[in-house]
Amino acid sequence: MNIFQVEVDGRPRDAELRFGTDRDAESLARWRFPKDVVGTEATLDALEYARLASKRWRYYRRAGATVASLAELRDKVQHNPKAEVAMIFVARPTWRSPTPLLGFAYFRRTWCHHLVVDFLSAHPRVIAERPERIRGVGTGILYQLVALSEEMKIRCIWGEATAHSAPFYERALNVEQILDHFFIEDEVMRYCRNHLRQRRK
Amino acid sequence: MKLKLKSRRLRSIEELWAVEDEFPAVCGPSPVSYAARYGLNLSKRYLEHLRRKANGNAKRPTPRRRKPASG
Repeated sequence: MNIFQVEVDGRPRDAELRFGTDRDAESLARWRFPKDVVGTEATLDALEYARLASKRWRYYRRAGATVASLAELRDKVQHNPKAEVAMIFVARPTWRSPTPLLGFAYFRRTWCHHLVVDFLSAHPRVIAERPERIRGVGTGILYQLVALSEEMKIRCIWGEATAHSAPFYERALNVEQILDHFFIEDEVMRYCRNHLRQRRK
Repeated sequence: MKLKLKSRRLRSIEELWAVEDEFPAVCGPSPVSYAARYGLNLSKRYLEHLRRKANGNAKRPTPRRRKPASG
């Protein structure tokens, strides 16, 4: 379990990040947006991503290709260095919050020891800022993926980007231009890891 | 395409928090292409949203009623 900082109604708070379990994967399929909020493009996409991630998890689960902890991941890779495994990161509040799951990332470790991010999303309530204004969930999860890559000596994290998500990745990673895919490697990876080291001080 | 850093300056956590003020953290491939690629179904609500978007947010036409079977 890792801790990262978010801002809640103007005050810094700790969010905890850990590997998701079957229960977490099931709970993603039950995400809803606040009743008083009209579904925006972002909230509707977030709901759909959560459902698709939950479905994909089930497929991998049946094949015995999911892991729910760092120890399990290490074990799988040690047992089969070319294993493809699926994982979920879930971010939870450490304070009393009506939003028990702030966001998630569904990603995979590929046969050549890279990470592929399929989905990364904040909860629709976080996007709609109801009832709390929480900032930093997405960037927090993204940097925790970098932390995992450091822990596992993974040199590349990549994923697809859409017209909506490309600007988020550009700003979060401090890079010039992202089109329909991104690769966090080399100097961008080093930069992100330096960021993490700065936070740990 | 290799990504190029804008600058090497490490940003404050407040600067990182501010990213999501402009761009919500909703990242992934297009749900349609993802669902098609892996043979998954999209939810009814999402399909309805896509239909509305394709029709310029027009309301869904009321379904035509079938005539009752004669006889």
